[in-house]
Amino acid sequence: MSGDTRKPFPGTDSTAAEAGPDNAGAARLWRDLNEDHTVANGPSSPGGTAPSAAAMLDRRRFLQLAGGSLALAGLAGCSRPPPQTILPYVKTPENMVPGQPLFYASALPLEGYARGVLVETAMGRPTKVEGNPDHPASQGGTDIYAQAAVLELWDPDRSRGILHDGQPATWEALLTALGEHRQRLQSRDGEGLALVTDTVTSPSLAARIQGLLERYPQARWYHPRPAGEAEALAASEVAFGAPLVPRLHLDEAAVVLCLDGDPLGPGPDQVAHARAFSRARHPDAARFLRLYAAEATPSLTGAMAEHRLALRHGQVQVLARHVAHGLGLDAPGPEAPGLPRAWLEAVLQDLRDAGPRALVVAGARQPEAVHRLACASNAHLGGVGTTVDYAPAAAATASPHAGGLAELATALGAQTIDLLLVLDGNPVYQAPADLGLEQAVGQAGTVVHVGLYQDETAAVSTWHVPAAHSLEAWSDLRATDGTASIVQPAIAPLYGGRTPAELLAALEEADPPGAYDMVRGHWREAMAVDDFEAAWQQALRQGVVADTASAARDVALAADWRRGLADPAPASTGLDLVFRPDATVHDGSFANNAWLQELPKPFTRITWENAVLMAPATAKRLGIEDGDVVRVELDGRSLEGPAWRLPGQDPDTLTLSLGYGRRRAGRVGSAIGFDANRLRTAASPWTAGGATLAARGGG
Amino acid sequence: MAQIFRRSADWLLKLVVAGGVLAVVAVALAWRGYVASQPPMGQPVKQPVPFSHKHHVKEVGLDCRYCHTAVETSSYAGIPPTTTCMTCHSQLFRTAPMLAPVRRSLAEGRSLGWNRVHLLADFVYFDHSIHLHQGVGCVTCHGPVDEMQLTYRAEPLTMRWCLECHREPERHLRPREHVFDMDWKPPRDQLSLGRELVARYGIDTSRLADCSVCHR
Repeated sequence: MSGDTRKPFPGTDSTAAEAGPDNAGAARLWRDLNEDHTVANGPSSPGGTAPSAAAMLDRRRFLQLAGGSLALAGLAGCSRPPPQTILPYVKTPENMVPGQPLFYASALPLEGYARGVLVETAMGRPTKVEGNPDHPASQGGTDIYAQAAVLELWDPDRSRGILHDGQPATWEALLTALGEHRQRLQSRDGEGLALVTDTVTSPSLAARIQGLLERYPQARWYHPRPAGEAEALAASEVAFGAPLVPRLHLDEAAVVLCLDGDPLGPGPDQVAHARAFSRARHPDAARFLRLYAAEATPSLTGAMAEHRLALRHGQVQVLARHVAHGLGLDAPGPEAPGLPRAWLEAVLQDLRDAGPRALVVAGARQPEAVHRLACASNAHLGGVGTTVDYAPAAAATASPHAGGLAELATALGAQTIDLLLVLDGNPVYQAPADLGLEQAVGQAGTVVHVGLYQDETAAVSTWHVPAAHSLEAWSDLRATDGTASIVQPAIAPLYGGRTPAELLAALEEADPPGAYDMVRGHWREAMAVDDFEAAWQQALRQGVVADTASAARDVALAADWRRGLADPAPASTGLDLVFRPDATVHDGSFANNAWLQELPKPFTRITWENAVLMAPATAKRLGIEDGDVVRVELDGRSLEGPAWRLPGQDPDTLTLSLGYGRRRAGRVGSAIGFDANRLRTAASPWTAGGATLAARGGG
Repeated sequence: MAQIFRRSADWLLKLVVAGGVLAVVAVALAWRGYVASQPPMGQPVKQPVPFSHKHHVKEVGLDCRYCHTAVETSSYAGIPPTTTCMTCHSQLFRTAPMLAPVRRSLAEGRSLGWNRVHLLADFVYFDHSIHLHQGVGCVTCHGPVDEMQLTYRAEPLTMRWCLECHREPERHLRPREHVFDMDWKPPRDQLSLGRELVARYGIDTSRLADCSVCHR
């Protein structure tokens, strides 16, 4: 960035020196680098080949077409209006006032966890999603995914019917096929049966899976590991003696240090964290929260930080060690010339002064050691119970029942799986490419996939069953704090969708119960109250099941908390890659949602595709301009995508976002952007070192 | 050289021209009638069941809100569900052939499809509840429904007609407690009553004829 005369990304202390003198103190604000006309290389279209709209259409031609369209539009007035009949209900649903919206409390999953919502329906059709003020993860607010859920529900590209080997089939045919499997499974203790789910927080589904695993002890359950969960549990197991996950209370904190953590970024707790953060930043608040952030690539949290440090992914652990050491814990770190001493001393001073009001947040994509150092620092500072507490993870998948997708690939390769049930998610697309899941799935005898779309996983499945959307299904979910919510449908399934629980029931029983009976039946036992009907109605009305939040555990730092603490990996030569879920289409599950595609991504304002994000200094060094197609190589694998300069990015780091390069997302989401999963490995899914970058054709 | 046309052809030409003009006018009028957005005023609209408001309101004495339940709370007055019909007709006229579609609707769970009598364009925002709360009676817009053997449109529902009242509401208002009263007659000094009601109900007449009141 040297020589440029732009304001640096807010809070980029370390890059301030590189950014050069500010433009004589002038308050010249900019939103991306190309708005600055002092930059010689202006914006160019990706690849420099796409003709611009202006070239195809001159002004005269445009006005001709516009005038013609306008004149022809008048013709619509020359016909009789379509005949209208009024179709009243045969029996009006309860509480329905024609013409008035009706709200139902429900919950929508993100990464498997519940966010409480109120679903607005107009005469029986869901039209809008609002936050549920009574739900801890919503507090009346919603995130972009909840706002876009309505479009997902009505998406005409959703799967509309059961497929068997790509041909339309019936539910009865599937029941027959599953019945044959059932007989074989019963005789062999379930050997050869494998379940794949996403993160499961649904108490009723978890109980059903548990029952299945007890009945079929040889059956296996696989699920992708959500970022940070296993690391947080392992860290707390050593530090506190129990596998727990941290729950942040940003509104109780006076000083927060985020070690690559992004509590304000997308995730099931985003809204709750944002609420707490805004309370802590209110001018009238008792404490005005001060935020430090160290991260390789700009995040929403980094953007809100007063003091932000751009740091390579691996250096974050070095920083965590220095912080822990500086606080008085026995964790000396290696000498790190990359760490600015003044920054570190300021953080330490502030953390020490804040004491129990301080909070250290470990990034979900950082290794276990960072999580453990954060646990130790928080315990040492005395913030446990105030700014953070530790509780068991709400997800049933958090306890290690089986394996992740790597173990699934191994089992598939060994040809030990007869019947593979993919109950949720799209593992064939979402798994790191080195697992080769697309080919491996073919090794299973029969694959049954339940999904909203006929996606990459459906394409390699024997059976595909359309899933019921969360707005049209009976289910239940837990929030990250354990609070359970009943998911109630706002409309009957549009395309005969089924829930994962319904498919499991179909495997277990010849005459499977419906989703409603299963959910209600589960809670009739789980609530264990005298008047179940009243409690059930209350849970539906409120959107939360009373008294289901998990209590925080009393924890104390174990004396041998350093046991087996991994040393930071030596910095690799070449460029680091960091992989992030896309800011709008997430891991690709929202790829076919045009509202989310159209939503500009934070910092870059890119829509409808992803880009190889790099620091301006890196781009300058390699002679790359915005929009140039570049080739990223890592261990013999490569991908091509447009480059984009991102101020605040660490100069040795490239950011690749997931969720693009979908092949079978639908008419909206297919064949746009590049698939970053091609460079990911199961061993290190969130970062990789030693990548090379070259302009296309140059290498 | 002989004349091609005789003298009388002059008349024929005039007749053809006049006929052509008339034909164009007639076709235009017929077309306009054909594409009219509303069924003709004063003519009953054909319905699946020849429902008589006169019988149910005047003779039986049902209140409007027995069927049009949402009229006080919603933009839409509400057409009764089949079950409302069956509250009485499960006991009365149980075998009347006229009511066969109603029984079939309940048995098959299919809606009765009523043809629209009052059709406002989609670009007009209309709310029943606010009109009732500000003292506009049912009869003011819907005419003597209690006299209608078969339901027809009694008022033009044009923009000009709406504006007549929105500009001078005092000419048409009645006390709130009489909005459902089919027999209420305006007093001789309607204007002074109307002005008093405008004040009492807090109607802001200066904004009432703004475009955005109806075209939102």
